[in-house]
Amino acid sequence: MLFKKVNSLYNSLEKLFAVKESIIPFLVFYRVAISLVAIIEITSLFPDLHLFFSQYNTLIPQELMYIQSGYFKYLHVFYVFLEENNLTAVFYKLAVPIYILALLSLLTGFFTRYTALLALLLQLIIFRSFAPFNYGYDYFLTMSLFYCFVFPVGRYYSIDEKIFKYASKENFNYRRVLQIHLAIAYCLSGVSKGLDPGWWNGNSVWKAIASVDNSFFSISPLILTFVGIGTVLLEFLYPLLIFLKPTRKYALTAIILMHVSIAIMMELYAFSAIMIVWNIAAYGTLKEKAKHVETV
Amino acid sequence: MKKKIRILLYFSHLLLIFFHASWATFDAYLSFYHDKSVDIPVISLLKQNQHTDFYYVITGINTGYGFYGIHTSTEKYFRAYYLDSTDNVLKTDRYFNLSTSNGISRLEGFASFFSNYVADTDKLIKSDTTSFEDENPKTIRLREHYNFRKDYVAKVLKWYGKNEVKNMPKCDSYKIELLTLVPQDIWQKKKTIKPQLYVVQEGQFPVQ
Repeated sequence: MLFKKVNSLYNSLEKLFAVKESIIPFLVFYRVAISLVAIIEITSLFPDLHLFFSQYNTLIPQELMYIQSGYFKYLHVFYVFLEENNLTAVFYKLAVPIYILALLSLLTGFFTRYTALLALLLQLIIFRSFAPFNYGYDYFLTMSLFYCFVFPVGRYYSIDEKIFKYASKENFNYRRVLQIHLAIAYCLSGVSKGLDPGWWNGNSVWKAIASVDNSFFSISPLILTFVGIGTVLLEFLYPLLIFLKPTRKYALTAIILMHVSIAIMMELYAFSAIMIVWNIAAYGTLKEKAKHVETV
Repeated sequence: MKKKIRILLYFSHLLLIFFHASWATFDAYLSFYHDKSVDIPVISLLKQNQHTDFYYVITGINTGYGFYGIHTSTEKYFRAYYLDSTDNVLKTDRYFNLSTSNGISRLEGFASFFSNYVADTDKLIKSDTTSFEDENPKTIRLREHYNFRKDYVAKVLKWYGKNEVKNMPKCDSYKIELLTLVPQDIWQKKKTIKPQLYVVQEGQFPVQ
């Protein structure tokens, strides 16, 4: 009886992760888009990077940046090891260039799995060394690089494909992992916002966007309330709206527009970019050999 | 067999994400609205703990997905005043040599983190209601804990601006403020009035 139930549960899982259409465009798009976003982001931070990550020139000493984070136990051991072996200066000099090189290798699909792992480890070391200065983007990039490491993203349209001449066909729907992950993230974000009365009367939208540097503080309460309620409902209902075929393209368009607005109004460009990449990778219609991405 | 393992591993990974994100939302709600935290032993096994921590860190799933949920806070930022020997302001600064919007956004993110840190430290201090002579190990641990946090707050404020004064020979001291926009009820406030600022924490330091 129990065996039957377990077996039936497993069969449902097998169906859930079954490949129904080619996932090659997804794997290629994901690899290229994630590495491009990561390269653009680190390049955009480059003039200021020494103030967050360097041996002597940080805003506050490097140890003070991570001492109060959950990464202290890993980073402290790592930096002590570097110090004891006189490698600190070399590490600070090479970490970022090697990280960028790893991302470039990931982009072109050159020894993809190894370079994805290297990029993941360096991203964790570099960015968590200033953990309190991290935000949503940094965590989504870690997740993305982790998926680039575990998914076979380097098997197609890559240098690896030319070198290793892979033969096997994919029999696992990696895209489904991203789809479910994204659905969980939005739904719980919707729950979280829905529990805050401020999202139902516009006050939280005002708090999120009002700044001494802009004039969003004067936006009409009616508009803010509409935006607040719209955001809660869109995020909470995202799994349903994206699952149903008739509403999928509207939900995808709405969520992309939401991220474009976040980029413009809150200047969180990298975060918005990575969320748009995840949405297109998970639910956009990606066609093999097509030059464009369209939604269904 | 390989496929079965793969399916089970990814399913477990997704279950962990669902569990962690749900728990983070529930925990944040209880802690903010009811000032409570719940410890359920079975759940603690799956939560980020010494056994699961590495997996959470390496996969990046050690984050909630609140995105300004539960309780949205207003904008926060640091402001420095560089003063001469008669306390005249030589220069004020908000960006501490940061020049990119990416860097400035991160600095504002830190200001928000720091403001929560200051508030939590104050809570810890207020929770110490025993007499000064009390040498109960629990009280001593609590005092060590909040003194460490107070020290951290002072050190962070001191370091901000420390680099800048090197290039200002006339600067005798500097003051760092952590400012927040005062939340307003949008249905009560006048549309055109600019939001007010409030100093959450400040520190003045002599140039050494």
